[in-house]
Amino acid sequence: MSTEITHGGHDAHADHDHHGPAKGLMRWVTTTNHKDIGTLYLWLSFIMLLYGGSMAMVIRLELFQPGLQWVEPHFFNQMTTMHGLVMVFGAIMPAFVGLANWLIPIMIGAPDMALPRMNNWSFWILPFAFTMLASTTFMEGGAPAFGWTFYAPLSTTFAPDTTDFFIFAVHLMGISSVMGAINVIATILNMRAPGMTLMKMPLFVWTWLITAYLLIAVMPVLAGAVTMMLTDRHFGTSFFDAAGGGDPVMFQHIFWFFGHPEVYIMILPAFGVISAIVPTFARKPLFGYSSMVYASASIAILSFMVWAHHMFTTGMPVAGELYFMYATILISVPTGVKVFNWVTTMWKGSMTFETPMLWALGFIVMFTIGGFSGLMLGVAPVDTQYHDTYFVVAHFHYVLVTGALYSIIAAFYYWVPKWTGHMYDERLGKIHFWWSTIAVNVLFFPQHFVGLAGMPRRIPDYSLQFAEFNMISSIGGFAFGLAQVFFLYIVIKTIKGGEKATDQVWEGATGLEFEHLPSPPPYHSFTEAPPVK
Amino acid sequence: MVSITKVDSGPGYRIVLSPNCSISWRELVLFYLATCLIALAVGLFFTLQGLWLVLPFSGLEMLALGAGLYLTSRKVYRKEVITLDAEYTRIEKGVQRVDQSWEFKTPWVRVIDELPDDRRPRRRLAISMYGESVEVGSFLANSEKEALAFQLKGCIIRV
Repeated sequence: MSTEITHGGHDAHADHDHHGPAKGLMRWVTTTNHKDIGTLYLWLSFIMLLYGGSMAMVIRLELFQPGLQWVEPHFFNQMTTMHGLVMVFGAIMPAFVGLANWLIPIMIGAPDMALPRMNNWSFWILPFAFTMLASTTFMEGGAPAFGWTFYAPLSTTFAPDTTDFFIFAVHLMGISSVMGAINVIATILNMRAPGMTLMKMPLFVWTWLITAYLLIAVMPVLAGAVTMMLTDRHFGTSFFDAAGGGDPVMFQHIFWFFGHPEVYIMILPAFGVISAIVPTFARKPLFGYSSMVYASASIAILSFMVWAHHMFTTGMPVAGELYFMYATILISVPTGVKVFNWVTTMWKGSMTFETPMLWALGFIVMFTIGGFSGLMLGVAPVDTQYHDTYFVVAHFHYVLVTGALYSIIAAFYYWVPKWTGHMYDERLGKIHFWWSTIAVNVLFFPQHFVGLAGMPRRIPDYSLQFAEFNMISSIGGFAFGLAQVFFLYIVIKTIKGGEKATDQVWEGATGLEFEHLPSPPPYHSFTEAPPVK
Repeated sequence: MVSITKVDSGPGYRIVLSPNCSISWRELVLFYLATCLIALAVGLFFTLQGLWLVLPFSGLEMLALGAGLYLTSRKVYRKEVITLDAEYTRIEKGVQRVDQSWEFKTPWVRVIDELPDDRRPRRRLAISMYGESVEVGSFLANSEKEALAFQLKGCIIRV
């Protein structure tokens, strides 16, 4: 027997252990590295944000003045539909998947995602899906024009032929989302470092675990809905065709059974991001960690039980309206717990207001405004008045823009020094925040007023009494759009260089990614499990 | 994780190596079954409303989730068992059953411990005889490999 200790041994196995990124374009095509895939997702979502944003500019341009000025009503409908689809499925969801890919492994001390090859597929499906969806704009009949909710029979009996491309694209997006969710679940359950118990996980990881569970639960419903649309269109079925014994209102039920949890799919990871940022800049541990976990789970469970609050005006029985109204209002309890905990974390904290904290504070204030208008819409008799007005548009944009998008931008500023090793330009970051925040309120706040005054959504023309508020709203829209082009400049500037970031990046930052990894982290991080306190 | 036990029947040791696993098989199965139950409930709910095309997608998705969890768990539930006695050193690798095995003559066994360097951040530990070498504990942390190399050497000397 003998023992041999060698230094610098080299064989084929060693190469496998320590390969860096491949060179050139193929690195990005074939990569299975969670950081590369996270970066790809984030860039795709940014491109989709600008693409969906350009459609918003067309909408606001047309609505700048009453009357038809720039586009035909049918094209306007295509713009509202594609804007919604691209922003929901192309911008917000992939951005959070990108953050999940970058952050979950380094937050739980795992070397990579559990199923890296599937991770690669789940990303690369998306560019094809969105190219197919976008290409319908140039086809005969034009892009889908039935709203992002694609209610039957607009999306079945009266839809253009291009709807089949839309159906296929939605299937591809669904497959991508399911594969991403399976990967997140397998990674979090199986690959946590020793000592990283469930109740020690960062809240971003918790909220993503719950989000992945929601995705798993509702994606078959979306897939079933679009497949039944397809069979109604081409194979003689009548799932949603009253003439054949079907029920178009059932489409709304099936859509919103998917659609309402989808709202929480887009906001739960945002709660995780804010729960990471607020304690760092308040220099205090998060108040009520376990109540945050239980509140997230409660929101997820309740999200399955409230879908018909989107359908109060379809003529449901009063008992049904009462149930869905009370269940909807119940969601404000766990959401209130979260807002309370963030505020309490800041209470008597040693606060500083760097750019990520500004975006997080913007989120807390303006998401709460969106939450309150949601409460108003949840009250059935009131919703009868507000339904399908601009008040609804204002509500969900406060939730999704100043909520979800603000948290994504906050996450960028918070973690980009860790990702790139460069600090962003603090002055430009603050300009970006104030520019966006003033613009977004000029854009969306007047929409509450025009909505309450009765302006319907999804129309290219409107009555004269709405003219001033629409003009103000459009000016805000152009300013907000321009602010995000400015953000693109900040992103590129930060990637290309900047002040060197320290490993901890922020004085109050905690967590494995800040305490055990350099900035930027090596291509293969946590090849050995880190110690967990 | 490394566990060393003395073999009852004579002078010898049994060393069991397993990767870090953050959830037990039982918990994983329970999680999967609970997810299946929810997916089935949703699928059946819509089937009862006449919208039966949700159910096949629920089934497909549960198959995909099951496959994903199974493949991941195969990675973390694998085991390597090294059995040492005065005559033979056996190495067995597998998940729940022996998939691969090697047998070396203990007096001729060498423990190879390749330290990490710039090109390879992971320490490599192997048992070899006559040029044939079997890596052991590739999933262990460098510090665990260092301790294992020391313990292996001690066990071989003692038998």
